[in-house]
Amino acid sequence: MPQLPASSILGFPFVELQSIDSTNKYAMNLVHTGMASHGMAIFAHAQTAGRGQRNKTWSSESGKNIALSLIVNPFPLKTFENFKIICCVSVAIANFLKKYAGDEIKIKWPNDIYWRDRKAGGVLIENIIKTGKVSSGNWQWAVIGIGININQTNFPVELPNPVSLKQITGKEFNTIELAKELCAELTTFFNDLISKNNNFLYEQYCNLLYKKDEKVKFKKGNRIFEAKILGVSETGQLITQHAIEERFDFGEIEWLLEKV
Amino acid sequence: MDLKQIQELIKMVNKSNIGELTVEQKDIKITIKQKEEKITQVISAPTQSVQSSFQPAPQQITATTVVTTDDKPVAVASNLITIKSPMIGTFYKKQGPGKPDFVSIGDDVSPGKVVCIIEAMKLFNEIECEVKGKIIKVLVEDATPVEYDQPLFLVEPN
Repeated sequence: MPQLPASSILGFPFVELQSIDSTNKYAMNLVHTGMASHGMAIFAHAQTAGRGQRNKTWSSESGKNIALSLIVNPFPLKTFENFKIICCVSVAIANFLKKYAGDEIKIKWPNDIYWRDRKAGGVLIENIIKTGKVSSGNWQWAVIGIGININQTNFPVELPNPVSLKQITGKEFNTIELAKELCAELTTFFNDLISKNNNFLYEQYCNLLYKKDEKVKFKKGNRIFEAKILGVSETGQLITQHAIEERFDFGEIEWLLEKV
Repeated sequence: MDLKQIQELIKMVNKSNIGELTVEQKDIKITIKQKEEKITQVISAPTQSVQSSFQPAPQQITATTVVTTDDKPVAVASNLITIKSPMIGTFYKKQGPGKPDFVSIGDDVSPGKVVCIIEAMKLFNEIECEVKGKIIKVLVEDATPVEYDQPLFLVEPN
């Protein structure tokens, strides 16, 4: 029998850690040891080995930012619907940040959060999928890792265009309170995703898309080209136009953004 | 119907679980039959000739699935289980650079054991084994793209 999430509230229980290597790693360990429950949140004041995308690290000054991992049961989503969870999480974070930072918050495809041309946050989602009778696999768990710059104002020079909420607003924030507020926002959007079969989240995602209808430089292999971003398909491909319309999966091309 | 269309048909049949497909047009009738055991496609050498005269481009059938093959067909117990990719993405056999492989040939696996990661759309999917047995073959190279339903591992159940 498919198992329905026991509780649809995300952020409960809320586990607060002073310091950990990586909240996602901690959450994945909970899943692997059978200790995970739907909605569990792991918050750390400091991450010693925060993870970004594969082979990349996520660096963050101790005690100043949000490092949060949520464990969710994605049922009844299927593995091929994985872009829906990206839409849901990105839109929830963007909406949450817009309350403080205004309408210049955008989603950079596929799931970075930008303010103007600067990166305010990132997402790393890890899934557990069982192979077996269903050929598309059985999506057991999703661990949603979220990093958002909050009170940090000095960043390592090698980071491309970072920005924090404090730099945007001039105010200092309580990171725990903000993280819990973010969990509430995610709860709303996640329940919409699970219960409503409509395109609302996808439309929101498209409306929030960074550089939409603008020309951007990309790199594909050795080829550098400029193309206009037309949008994102419902399965998550970036749709661009130069001489002809092209679609790209993530990883096929790199953004070449100018340093601001 | 041209050769390309026939090749497409073969690919389609190969990816599906259809046993046999017959297409009849004015002056031509084509029947494409799947071999009984999909596993035999995986381990057979690509140069091996295919018996059926109804398969105009036999290489197409093997080429889509064969990644590592031996020079001659190997006798393999027919009870082998294939772990297939549940999605399109990039196959990784380890957690990260410098980390050990999740599984290697000869390793015992059991349900719940992570065998690989498939990255798709910036999502990292840990693929768990559902069977108990021994890894006989790893069919895909590290950091290479995989298709939906592409065989990844052969497991001898125990």
